[in-house]
Amino acid sequence: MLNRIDRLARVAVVVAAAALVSATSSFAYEGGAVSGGGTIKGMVKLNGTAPEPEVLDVNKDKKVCAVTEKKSNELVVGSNGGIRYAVVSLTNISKGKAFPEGESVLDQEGCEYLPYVTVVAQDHELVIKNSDGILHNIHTYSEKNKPVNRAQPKFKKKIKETFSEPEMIKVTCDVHGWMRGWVAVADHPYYAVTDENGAFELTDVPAGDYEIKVWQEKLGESTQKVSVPGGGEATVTFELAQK
Amino acid sequence: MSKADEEKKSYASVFLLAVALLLVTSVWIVWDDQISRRPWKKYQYEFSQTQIERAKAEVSAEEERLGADEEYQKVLADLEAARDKTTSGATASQLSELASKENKARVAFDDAEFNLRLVKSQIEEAWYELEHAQLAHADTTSQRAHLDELNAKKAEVEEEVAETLARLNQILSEQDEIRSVVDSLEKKKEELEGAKSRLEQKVDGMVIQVGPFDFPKIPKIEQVVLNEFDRNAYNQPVARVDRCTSCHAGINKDGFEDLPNPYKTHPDRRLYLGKHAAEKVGCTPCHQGQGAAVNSAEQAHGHVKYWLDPMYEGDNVQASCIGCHADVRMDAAEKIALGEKLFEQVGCIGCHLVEGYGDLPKIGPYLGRISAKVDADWLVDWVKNPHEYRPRTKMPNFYFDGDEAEAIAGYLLSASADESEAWLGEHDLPSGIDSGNAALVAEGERLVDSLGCRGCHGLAPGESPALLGEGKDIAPNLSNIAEKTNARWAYHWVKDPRGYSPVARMPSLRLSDQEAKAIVSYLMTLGEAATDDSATRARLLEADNVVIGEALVRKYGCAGCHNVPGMESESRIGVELSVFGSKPLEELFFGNRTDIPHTWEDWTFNKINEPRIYETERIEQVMPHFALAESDIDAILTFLASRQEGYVPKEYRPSDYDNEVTLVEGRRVIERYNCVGCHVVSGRGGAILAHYEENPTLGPPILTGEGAKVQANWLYGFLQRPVPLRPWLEVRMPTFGLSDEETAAIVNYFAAEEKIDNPYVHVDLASLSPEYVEAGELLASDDYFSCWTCHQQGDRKPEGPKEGWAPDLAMAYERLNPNWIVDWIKDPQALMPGSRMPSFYDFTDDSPDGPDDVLGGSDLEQVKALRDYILTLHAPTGAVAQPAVATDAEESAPEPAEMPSEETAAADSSAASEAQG
Amino acid sequence: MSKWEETKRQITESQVWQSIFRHGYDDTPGNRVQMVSGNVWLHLHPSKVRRHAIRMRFTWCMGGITFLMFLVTVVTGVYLMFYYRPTAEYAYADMKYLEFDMPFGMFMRNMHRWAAHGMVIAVWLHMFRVFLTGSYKPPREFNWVVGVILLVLTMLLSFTGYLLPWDQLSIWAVTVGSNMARATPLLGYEGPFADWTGANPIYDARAFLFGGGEIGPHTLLRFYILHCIFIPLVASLFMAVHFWRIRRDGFSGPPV
Repeated sequence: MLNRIDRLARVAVVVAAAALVSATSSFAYEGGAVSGGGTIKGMVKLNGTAPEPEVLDVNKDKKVCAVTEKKSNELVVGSNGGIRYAVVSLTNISKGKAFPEGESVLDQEGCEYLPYVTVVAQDHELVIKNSDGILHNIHTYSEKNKPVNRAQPKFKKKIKETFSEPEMIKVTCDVHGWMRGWVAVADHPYYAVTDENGAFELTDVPAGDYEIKVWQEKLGESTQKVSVPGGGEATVTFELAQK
Repeated sequence: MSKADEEKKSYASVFLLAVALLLVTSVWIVWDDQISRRPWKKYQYEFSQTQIERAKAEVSAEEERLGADEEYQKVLADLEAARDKTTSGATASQLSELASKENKARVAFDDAEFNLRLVKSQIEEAWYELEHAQLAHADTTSQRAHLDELNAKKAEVEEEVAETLARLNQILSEQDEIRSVVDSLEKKKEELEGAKSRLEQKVDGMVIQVGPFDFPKIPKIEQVVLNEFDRNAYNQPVARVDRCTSCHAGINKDGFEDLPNPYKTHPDRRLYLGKHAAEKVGCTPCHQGQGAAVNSAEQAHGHVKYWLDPMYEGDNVQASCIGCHADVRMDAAEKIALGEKLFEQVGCIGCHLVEGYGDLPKIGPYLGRISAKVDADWLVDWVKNPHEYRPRTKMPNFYFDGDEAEAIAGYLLSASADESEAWLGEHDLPSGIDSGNAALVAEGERLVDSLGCRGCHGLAPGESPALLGEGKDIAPNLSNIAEKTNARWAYHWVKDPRGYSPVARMPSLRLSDQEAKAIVSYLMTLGEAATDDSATRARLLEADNVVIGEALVRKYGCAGCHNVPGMESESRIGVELSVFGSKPLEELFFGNRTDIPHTWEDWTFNKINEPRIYETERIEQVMPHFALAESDIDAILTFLASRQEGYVPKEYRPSDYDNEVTLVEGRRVIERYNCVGCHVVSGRGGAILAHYEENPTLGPPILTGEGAKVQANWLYGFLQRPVPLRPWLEVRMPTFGLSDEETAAIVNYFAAEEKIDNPYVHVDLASLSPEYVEAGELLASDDYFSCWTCHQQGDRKPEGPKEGWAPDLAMAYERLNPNWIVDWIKDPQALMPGSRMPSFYDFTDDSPDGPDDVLGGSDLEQVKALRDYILTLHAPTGAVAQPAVATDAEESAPEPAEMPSEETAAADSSAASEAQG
Repeated sequence: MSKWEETKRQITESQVWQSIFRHGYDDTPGNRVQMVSGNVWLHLHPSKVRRHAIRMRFTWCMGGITFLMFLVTVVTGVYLMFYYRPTAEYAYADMKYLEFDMPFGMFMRNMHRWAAHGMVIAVWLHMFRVFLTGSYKPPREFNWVVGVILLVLTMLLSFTGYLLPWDQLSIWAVTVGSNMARATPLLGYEGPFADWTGANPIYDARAFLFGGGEIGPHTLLRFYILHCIFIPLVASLFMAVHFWRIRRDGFSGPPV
């Protein structure tokens, strides 16, 4: 199961983080060809000992939802201290690579949100799937975007939603109170979600100086400066402490 | 001097002097009268000039734009070319040929027409002859023949007319064809110039053209006559005339917000002058002042001696809102709204009678059994200076010295002794209250946090969930309650407030014994516990002390705010303030103060700020000190300024005035019991929701739109006896023990808020279509929308813990307005943003959201079907039977959730089965 | 004769001209006499006067000034009459409108008041002058009496006019002034011998003045008529007698 989620997460990162059609809409961000771009690699670590993730209480629709044990993803730390599901992005880039083509998908399967963090470009459709065959609803909590609460009964396998402002949006289900997920609305393609080792990679970054930011659900935000050499690699390590 | 010389003496110099004086004087008279004393001419003239300048600037800007506009330039060029073509060359000669042909054709047509008319009149003549002959019983054949002849001729002539007309039209159309290019280009040019010509017309409307010069319009008096607005000294209606716009020429025109007064546009013009049409309402009904005066700004604004209504300064203009609007709780009238609220609720009405506010219940607590409640030492300290114990209490400080305080305390204890004894006899201290039991205290604290006490009470020093103005608490702060009272009283109070005080505003939260004990245990840890007060009591109850105390209580008018035993029929001791706003300056007593400016505003502000400020050696003042914040005093001042003599006639008040009165009466009840501490009502309130920011659905529901949502009858019953409706809530709707009038006022308030005239609903189940009910049942089932995965259905509960449940739909028949159910299902997020109920449909686009195979895939019909089905769920006997639906809910029985007490569980199930309040 | 002369002659010798202008303006003694004696406004004056008669320091023109003031009040008063309604509901408001709204209203009202004050002052000064120059001695005794009557009428004009603005000052001034009337013997209800005539608060000299027991709308109307019609008419009659007497008896100053 973990592998499947892991694979899905990677696919989602590659597809969603870079997947956008920019032809019809005009962004403040300009996407195009990048030559001599560099890569930013790095890791997000936890400063301190990781707490044991809470086991979620699955108390409804157990036939579909309680097949496997569910644990909270609000602070998942790997054996190397790397924090999973942190979102790393550049804050001040206005020109770079184009959003790649493809769909952004958020799936509800086994009464959890897969992937836990989905990246979708602003003004680009997010496809929300209901693979469970029972009633779910998408209830978002956001300030910059209009909050949404849409039902997705079993006969509606796919619904679509679009967000226009860059923001980290919390997603819950009112029918199944333990479900939690996040949608990162991206204003440019340089967004990455850390994997189980806390590692991330941003490719084809035009050479220059940038500010890079990390967001984690429980530990908050942190920024650093990074200098990307043309055609080369820059490494960034974030260390977040528990509050 | 000789006679001749005398006669020759010339008086020319005298006459010259006289004439010169006369001339100068005449010029001066005319100048003074027509110019100096008519400043409005200057203002209007200057405004007109500015207006014209700006309009002309707009015209030139538009011209510039056209100059740069390619399309327009092209049209101009083409037009010229086309025109040239028609004035020279082949086309021109064609046109002139056609022109001459046209003339000839016209002449021919006119001739033919004329002939027709001639013939027609001849026919009339012939008819006359015929009829004349008929009447004379003579022979009519020749007349008839003549007539026939003429008719034939007429037919001929008509033909000719038609012919000539056709020929003429043909020539005209030929001409048009040739000119069509020019015509269409001209039309296009006019179209493109549309904006410019409109602007030019605007300028033309503003000026007077004299040859090549244009002048602004001649200034004239602009006035609005309000018929029968005022009453003269003989109580006859007389008109009021407002001439403010003679100087304030731009006040009702957009676009001049940047100019200084008097040229400026009215702030928020669309709101104020839009809703209060200047022609209907004028200016002075809101701003006061001497509307008819035009000779100087000072006179017009009423800042002259003997004008009793000078213009309001700044925010005080809101004082006039309440003269027309019963309901001033609107965004534009915040100051007067606050002022009215403070005046009612801080306690001014306890001593001062104001017409319209005379019947309100007493602000202060019931003192009939005070002896059973409070510690005697505490009582003395409290009477001496309430603000020391509770800084934000509404009770003012009377500056009593120690002896006076003891006397008053003694009287109160003595007068309430009998009632208190009786009450104590029936209310023992129960066992089980223990402030030393940490677990019990913790439980008590938890209950206090979750049941909703924090909607009204602050429990830490400085905590204020329910503020009146800037710094007065609506409900007492309990952070040091142990100093004041004891566990026995607190227990019985918390269980049943009305059992102690018949006028208590504190509601019952339907606590179980155990809950109450835990809460009291917790409360008694707040503050230093009171020590034995029997010695103090004995001293206070000495007869002499009590007698002095009674006199003091009467003198200072305690009975105005409190129900004082033995003083039920005492009247208010303060001055009547019904027309205080009209009080002339001469009647205000400034005492010996020389440092206070002599204006009504300054007198009043200082009076409220420091009530005994005008005291002198021989003149005592008894008004106590309220310690109000400056902004609050300002607000009260605005309210007092609104207490004027005279009234606005009904025709000038808003048309929904009666509706407003209903709103005001309802709101009084809602604010008295602090419903707005927990609920958002009409977009305001809900202080307790600050504790539920993370998940607002755990807080008390928002009541905006309640009038359209629930059935009035159900709401009435619910308010009288609340039951839990939302199982996931820990906070509890308390039982307030409202009287019938109070309940009715609240129900009417909600209906009035939605402007509903008839709040009664009758659901006729027999008229529901069985097809729809069946479809609704299908839609609600697990095959489609799975409503029962969250919603309760009478005895059938959903899976999972109570926190995940939704309201019981079996109550819908009695509780909800069927129209609202449709609106809700269509888009719940629109009616209650952030609600846990998701949107199943999206009616903003045409794409269907429901299943295609139910009711032909029509979203609206499906919603109606769901509504119809829901209404059948708990109907009186004889209605549609409930279907047996096998759902997951039945298979996996819900685990019994932890019930805090038996009582609450009983309330829950009784709610489900009775479905009525 | 030039064209201009010719035209002039034609005009002045036409029937129209001759019927209007009875005499020429050449400086002939005849014309001089005609100027005064042939004019309705001036013919009260003698055509010739003694030199001493125009000695200003004898008369100071006080009589003439009084009459001038009277004329001014009449003219301005007529203007005021157009806009003033003597009813309780409107009196004050109309006065305010005259003061602030009417073109030249303030001017006319102020002129009226100045002229009224001027008339009173001038008439007293005139009276003093007449006394100090002995101009009351025979044969001029009766004229003195007429003058005193005119003095009283002048005072009454002021008194009645004062009520017309209908403000606090007016009403109380009239109250105080007329309270004297109730103390009149026989005719006032608070005076001696009131019971002989049956004088009571609503039927005595004071009530006669008021038109009722108290000052009210009826008083205002009454005073208005007194002020605008009755007293001016009576005063005009007496003025006619007064001026005629002066003319007949000649100026009183000694010959120079």
